[in-house]
Amino acid sequence: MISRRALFMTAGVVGGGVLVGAVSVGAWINGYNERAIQDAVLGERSAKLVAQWIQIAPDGHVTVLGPATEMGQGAQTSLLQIVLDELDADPTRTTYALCPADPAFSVHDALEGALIAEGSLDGWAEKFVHGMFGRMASLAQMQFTGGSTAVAFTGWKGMRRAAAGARMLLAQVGAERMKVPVSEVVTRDGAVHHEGSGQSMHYGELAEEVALMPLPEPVYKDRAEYKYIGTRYPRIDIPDKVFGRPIYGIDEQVEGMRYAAVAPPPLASGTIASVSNQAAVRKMRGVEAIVERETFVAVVADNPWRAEQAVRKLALTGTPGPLGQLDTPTLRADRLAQTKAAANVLLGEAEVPLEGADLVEATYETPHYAHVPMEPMNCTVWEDGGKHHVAAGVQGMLSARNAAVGALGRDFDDVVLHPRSIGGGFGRRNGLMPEALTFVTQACEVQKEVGGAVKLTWSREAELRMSPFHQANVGVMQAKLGGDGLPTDWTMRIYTPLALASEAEHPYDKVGNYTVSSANGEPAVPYCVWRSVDKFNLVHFIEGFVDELAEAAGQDPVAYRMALLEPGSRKARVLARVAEMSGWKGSKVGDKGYGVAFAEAFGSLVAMVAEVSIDEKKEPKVHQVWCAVDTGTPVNPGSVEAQTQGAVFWGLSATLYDGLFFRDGEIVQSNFHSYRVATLRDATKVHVDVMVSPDAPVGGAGETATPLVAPAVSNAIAALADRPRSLPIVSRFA
Amino acid sequence: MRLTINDETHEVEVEDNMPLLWVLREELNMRGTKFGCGIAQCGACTVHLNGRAVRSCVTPAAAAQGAKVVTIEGLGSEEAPHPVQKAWLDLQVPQCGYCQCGMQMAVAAFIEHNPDPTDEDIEAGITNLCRCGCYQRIRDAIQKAAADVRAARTAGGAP
Repeated sequence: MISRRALFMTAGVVGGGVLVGAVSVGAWINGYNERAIQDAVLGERSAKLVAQWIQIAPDGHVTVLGPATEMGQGAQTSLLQIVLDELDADPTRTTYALCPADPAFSVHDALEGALIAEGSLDGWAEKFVHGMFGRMASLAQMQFTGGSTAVAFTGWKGMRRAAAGARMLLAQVGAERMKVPVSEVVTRDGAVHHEGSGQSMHYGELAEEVALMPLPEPVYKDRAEYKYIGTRYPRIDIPDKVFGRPIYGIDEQVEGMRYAAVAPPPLASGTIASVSNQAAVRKMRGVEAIVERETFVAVVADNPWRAEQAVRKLALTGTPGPLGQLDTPTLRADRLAQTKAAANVLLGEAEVPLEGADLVEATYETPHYAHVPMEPMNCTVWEDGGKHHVAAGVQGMLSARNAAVGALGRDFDDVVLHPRSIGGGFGRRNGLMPEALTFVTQACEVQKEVGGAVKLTWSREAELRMSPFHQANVGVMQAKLGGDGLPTDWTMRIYTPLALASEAEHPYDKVGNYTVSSANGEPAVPYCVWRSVDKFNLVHFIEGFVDELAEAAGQDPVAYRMALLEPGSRKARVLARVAEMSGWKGSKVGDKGYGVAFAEAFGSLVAMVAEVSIDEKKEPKVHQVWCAVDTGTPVNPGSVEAQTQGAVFWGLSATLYDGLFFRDGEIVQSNFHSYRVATLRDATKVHVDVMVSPDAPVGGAGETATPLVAPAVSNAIAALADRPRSLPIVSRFA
Repeated sequence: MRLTINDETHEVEVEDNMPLLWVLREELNMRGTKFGCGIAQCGACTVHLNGRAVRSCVTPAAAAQGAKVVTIEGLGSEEAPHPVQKAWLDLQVPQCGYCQCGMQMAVAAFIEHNPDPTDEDIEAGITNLCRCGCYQRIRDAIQKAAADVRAARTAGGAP
């Protein structure tokens, strides 16, 4: 819901005629004015919003009010770089701040970007569509950090437009005040200069007037003029992290705060039937209260360690949930049977399954995964000034605020969300799925019952029992090859339905009929997206299978993919680059296997080669990974490189080790001793080339490389041993 | 009990078996040391105890009595960063950053004892977890910091 105050203020501002020319009367959509609504939410202050997201103080200090929370992806720095260039701001007097968790600051550019991809609409259509998405995003409470959208959409579309438009107005007003033609002024370092007369005015002197003017159609700078975009600008969040400053949700300190630890239901997906020893637990040192709910029990104490010691002493019995007391082999068999009967057609129109004698066929599998970000789930809730305050690291600020509003039973305006740096998101702290925010609602419920200030922290064991997980999937693949070895017909049946059917597209130009269908695949345990979302599963299926097609056609895997692409295309260039980087000589050289994968993901192109050997324990060792990534314009190539390196390790971990296993309705793993993840001990070297395609749309970087690791590694292993099609490859618990 | 942290002495009244991690974070308000797993697997809580990297989530407070404890707050400052922190800034290592205090503490102790490590030494010696997957830059930054420490020793100064 849009806050009543924002709506009221918008009506007031618009009705009062302050926004001269910004609003076409009666046009509900065209009349959507983000700046006015944001102004209303920000309240009384001397700094002015010269455009959506951009605030300038009377002393000339520029604040970029962005919706992207910092979780290590560097998006805040990249957004700042975009504004520095297009606004001609002074880098020493420009800072980034998180915008309020309010519908007025919804990220409609992300919604727009996700739904219409890269479109170029002109004139009225552009304005209409933009306004419509503004309305929709606001109504849909879109305010999230995820999907690799921050730079590609919020930044490259939204902030660039705002900054460029604001700079034009600042130049115009500056020229008027100096009484010189606007064509004679230049903007530089946060000021308007007129070289001829030697006059200059800083932006702070002009902001008040500019804030009342409608933004013009922006004229963007030439790329050659950029001083910040395209550079390895130092990340603004790094010094705090190197010197150990308390920036995370878990570091929150409030006067008189108490600490809650949580016991999950004994069975995964189940509930708590009874607690029998409250009296004994209450006698433990520091314990102040026990809060009992169907889905958790919390102990509140004067210290987090004492709370955790106490909560572990609780004697609980449980009731099974939807998962019942099933185990992984049973769940796998059920998923496979349902996938084979998949009937919802997502793409294409071929008869599924294909019939015939010369089919290439294979079945791929991925397991459930836990995200286990390094910062355990936590949330702090307190009361001050008649309002409830909630501090947490969340990817969806607005959703977290709404979750707290619901759990506390208060009005939207009476709950203030304080977003903190996130110690790892990866989708686990997203706001689009209510199950991902139970650490927030639990903290609110506990505070509501015991009062005062409460910080609730999940142990790692609680997280591995109570979290929603990345959904397991199955890919049943079939193809028929033509005389040239390329597929004339190709089908993929999957278990889980997709939010966007287009995610199941393969990246190739020369494939015949391609048909994708899905089963209904209801998750047996609560579902939560993770780094690279559905692409993680689908690229594993598609790119593993492409290698099998190459093998059936008797062709080299790189040459085969090249043959599937338009020669000389941007895609072919990216694939050729990774072949060059890795010195590709074929799938097997000496005792090493080499595997390739290629994909289009999150608006970017990416190609990968993995070098693998098999050790004496018959386990794969991934020595090197080469990755060519083309995000169009890398706003910060250093961040694209870092994100790609990180995405490779995320994928490596999921390919070899991660994966949840269920036995008798319980999750087998409970902490990092049993939930194995990739470390330095894997000794994998990652080589990244950040490519530039100036005319291409700007794509995402945070998740792009993740889904290629499983197929690249599997394809390399296939050159040395049996082809692995089921993940994870190393860990086996079933 | 009496604890010496970053060359300062503190009196705290806690159970002998309360892990040092929670004494640092809650009793002494030094929140750079992080809780990650509670079972000495992830290393986010790494501090130095008499120059050795230990996992403070399983180190009883009593075991730190009489010892010299150094935390991230005592490793270096923005004005005078430790060579590890300097390398971490130069190579832009952290992503989410949550594990990086413990990671830097582990690395500082590691290169103090082995200032000329091979990649194999690093891979065997640094077992801290990073879910963002900063490992490539961590490896590069360890080599850079180690080179700084070697240069300082050659020059006769304290590293």
